[in-house]
Amino acid sequence: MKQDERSNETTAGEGLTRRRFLRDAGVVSAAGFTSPLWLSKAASAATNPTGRDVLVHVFLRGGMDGLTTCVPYGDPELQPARPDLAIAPPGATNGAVDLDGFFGLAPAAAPLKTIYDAGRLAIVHAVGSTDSTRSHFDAFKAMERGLPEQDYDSVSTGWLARHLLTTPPLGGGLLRALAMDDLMPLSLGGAPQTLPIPDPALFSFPGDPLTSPWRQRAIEAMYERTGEPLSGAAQSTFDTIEMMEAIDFDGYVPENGAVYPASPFGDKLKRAAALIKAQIDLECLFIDYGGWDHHNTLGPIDGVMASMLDDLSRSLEAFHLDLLDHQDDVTGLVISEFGRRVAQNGSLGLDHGHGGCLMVFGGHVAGGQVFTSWPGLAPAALDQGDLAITTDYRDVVGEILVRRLGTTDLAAVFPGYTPNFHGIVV
Amino acid sequence: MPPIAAGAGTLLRYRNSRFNAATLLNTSSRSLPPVPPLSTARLHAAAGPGAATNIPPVAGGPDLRYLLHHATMGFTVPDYLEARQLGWAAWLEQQLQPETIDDSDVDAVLAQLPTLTLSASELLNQYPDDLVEQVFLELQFAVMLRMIYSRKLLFERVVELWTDHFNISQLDDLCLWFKTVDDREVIRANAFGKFPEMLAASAKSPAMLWYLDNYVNIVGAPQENYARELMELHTLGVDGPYSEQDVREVARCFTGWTLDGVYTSGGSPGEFIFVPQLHDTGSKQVLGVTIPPGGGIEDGETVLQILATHPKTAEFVATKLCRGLLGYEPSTELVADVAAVYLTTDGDIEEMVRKILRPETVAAVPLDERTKLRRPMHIVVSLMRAGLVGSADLLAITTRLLRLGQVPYFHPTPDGYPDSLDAWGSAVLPRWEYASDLFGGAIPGNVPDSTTLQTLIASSPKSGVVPGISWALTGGLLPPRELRDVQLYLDSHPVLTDAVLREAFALAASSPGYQYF
Repeated sequence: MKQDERSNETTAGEGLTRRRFLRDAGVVSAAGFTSPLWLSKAASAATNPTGRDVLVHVFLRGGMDGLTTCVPYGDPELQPARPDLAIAPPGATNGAVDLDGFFGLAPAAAPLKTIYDAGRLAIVHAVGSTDSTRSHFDAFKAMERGLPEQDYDSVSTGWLARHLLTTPPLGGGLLRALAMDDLMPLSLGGAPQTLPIPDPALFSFPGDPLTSPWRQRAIEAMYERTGEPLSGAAQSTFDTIEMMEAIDFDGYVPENGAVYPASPFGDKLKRAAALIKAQIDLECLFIDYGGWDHHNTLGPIDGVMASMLDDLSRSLEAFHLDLLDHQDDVTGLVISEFGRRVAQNGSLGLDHGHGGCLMVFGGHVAGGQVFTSWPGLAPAALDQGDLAITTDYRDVVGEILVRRLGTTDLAAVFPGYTPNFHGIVV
Repeated sequence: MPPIAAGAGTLLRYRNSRFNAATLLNTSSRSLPPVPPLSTARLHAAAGPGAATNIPPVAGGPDLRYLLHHATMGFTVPDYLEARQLGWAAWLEQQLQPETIDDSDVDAVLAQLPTLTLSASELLNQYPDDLVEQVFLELQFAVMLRMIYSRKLLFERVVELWTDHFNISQLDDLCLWFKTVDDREVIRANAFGKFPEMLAASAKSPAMLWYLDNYVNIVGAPQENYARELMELHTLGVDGPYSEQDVREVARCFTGWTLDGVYTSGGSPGEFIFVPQLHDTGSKQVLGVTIPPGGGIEDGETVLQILATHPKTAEFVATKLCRGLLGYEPSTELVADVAAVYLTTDGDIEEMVRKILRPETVAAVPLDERTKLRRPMHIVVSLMRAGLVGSADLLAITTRLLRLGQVPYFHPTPDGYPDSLDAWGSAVLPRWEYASDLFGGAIPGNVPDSTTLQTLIASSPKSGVVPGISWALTGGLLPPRELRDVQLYLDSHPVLTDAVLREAFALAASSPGYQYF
């Protein structure tokens, strides 16, 4: 690289960005790269000095059936509506794991009981997005843009993005949120310093390492002058490459004997744990878990729903164990776009519904209880045949944002709605 | 639900036998024909060194390079030369009559893929579970072959749009067998035909019946998965004038539309069958239309007719086509024009495409002012179409598409792969990685050879390595300010080695300009 051309290039541009300054310094020095700013910062940060948590947001796509996962076995209307699918009361063959004398966990979700009993898991029931749509894709928009019953088509930002846009970064703010998927979820649409990264362990700059700095320079220069979202994505990508390269994902050993299931979701939670412990000032980890659209042959005991619940629950249990010593830094939210119809359909499955259940976990959760204002499953109490919603999911999210994530402007996150807090996190 | 005939139910064992993408693609039992060097024959040797230097300068008239960017899966110099000879209108007319285009090179390879021509029951009979990888691999191989090498350029482009519109995940149990039939009988058979006929074919397609669960939609216990997506995704759109009650009524109309081998054993397992005993013969109300009691298969056909002729469907389909071919925000005037074509021609797709791809709609906007991203499949195919490699290992490319997030027929949900800036605009590293690996020779079986790269540059109408790269990849449309950064990179090396040239190609393919079309 000829020095004169580089200086021409930078004077031709709009001046040195912080990143470019670092890179140039690195290129000039024999060492290659300077040590990144975040490393020194992370080393000095004992543990979470701001008191703000990392949000681990798990989105169960497809419409997870809340009446199987957290079964209201005490409701007399359940069994008649689902003669072949209802989880039996505790004590019966394949019966529920009791939670509070009315609700229980599906047997396949039994590992969640560990977290529940430790007081680190709360379940909220008859909860959801109040938008009346039964379409997956509109339900995603309504929920993820945080605008049920509003004109969610005219807004491009997600609620999580608006939280990040209106709240100061935790630290350096180089990578504020990460979606462990190929694509950016709607919740993070328009979010600053946010990337979709399916596997952080594979996030490195390609090609010949000897020419890498110069090729990075060329790409960085090209993307600096282009529009969004490509420009910001490129900037965050370069920042993130440095961070990810410094984390030993392959050598990561979970703590407290935690064993993650060998599944895509288990792998992602394991990566999430490594990222949280690396203290890189991440504010949100978003994990998609698809496949909950069980129109056909639900299989709550030994079928597909059971195996998915087993995977979900064992993964969350492992994550809980692994992060026992970091519980104070993490709040988790497990949610789905809607629940499923109360009555079973003709193919031993369940069509799209409305209300469902969600889970909140972490060190600051008022765990060990099911929060609900139970509307009942009697036909007259249903919303077009579906579980009614008595708790707006924004109540739960709003409480997490304000109490655990340092949200300063909740009205900007959820315009047109004022969340009511229920004491789910403290 | 007990089967109603002895011997029925044979298909049910396939339920929830979801297949693993990576395992299927890495299967060792690949038995596929080699891709002959038709790429070299047609795509770049045809042009040859210096060919493009003879292109006369554009004097007036619409710039055909923009037409090629919109109407094909990637610019090539030979296609451009051909389009220059024909002119806009004649080129478009030729492309709109794909049966008149000589595609014998591709056809000869496809002829070596026996599964492509079989029916659903033939596939099930001849390819039991332990051989189904062959069915899967042949369709994956065929789609890459066609997208990269077929001369029916516009046809393949439109096939990709309909594949998303009527999305089916090949990984969903029996769809591993049935998508092959759907691709042939629903998508390709109707891609330039009448939309209502494609819709009707889709409703009886074994893959669609399985994917959206209508095969278990029966009287007394309706199953509304297909009914909902039929209105939301295939016809009216989610803002269409239908209610939850319409969803339930439409589901009743399609009761008894199933597959042989579920409730019946008529000897053709996997084929569409209407079983009158499983049909709800009560009267129904769909979008305000009363469907009288006592009906049979015609109830569902009436629903398809109501939906296919609805103005909202015309608008929805027109919007989809305009967005797919032109850009994220087509003008409301154009959409209205195309919707009007739909309504006056019984949903003639050829006519709609003709209406869309006019010089006045395909604006000559420079690539750096464009906003429509190429999706990963489009990028990968475009780079192959540029004529870089002689023989190719197509499935090695498909395997790489896993990391880019877009393998053909893998999108799990019925909405098809997203087509928006928000969805794809943040994942830039996988694109840089693919370009670097392709040009660096790190994708096995698809290594661009040095002579070819030199040839591509030499055939540029402009002198110099960087303008040559821009011509080879885009017809010279990469933004000059981005090319300057590639030039700076070249200038930092005293000698233009093969490795440096490859890196320069990779940088150009990684540029923001190349991500748009």
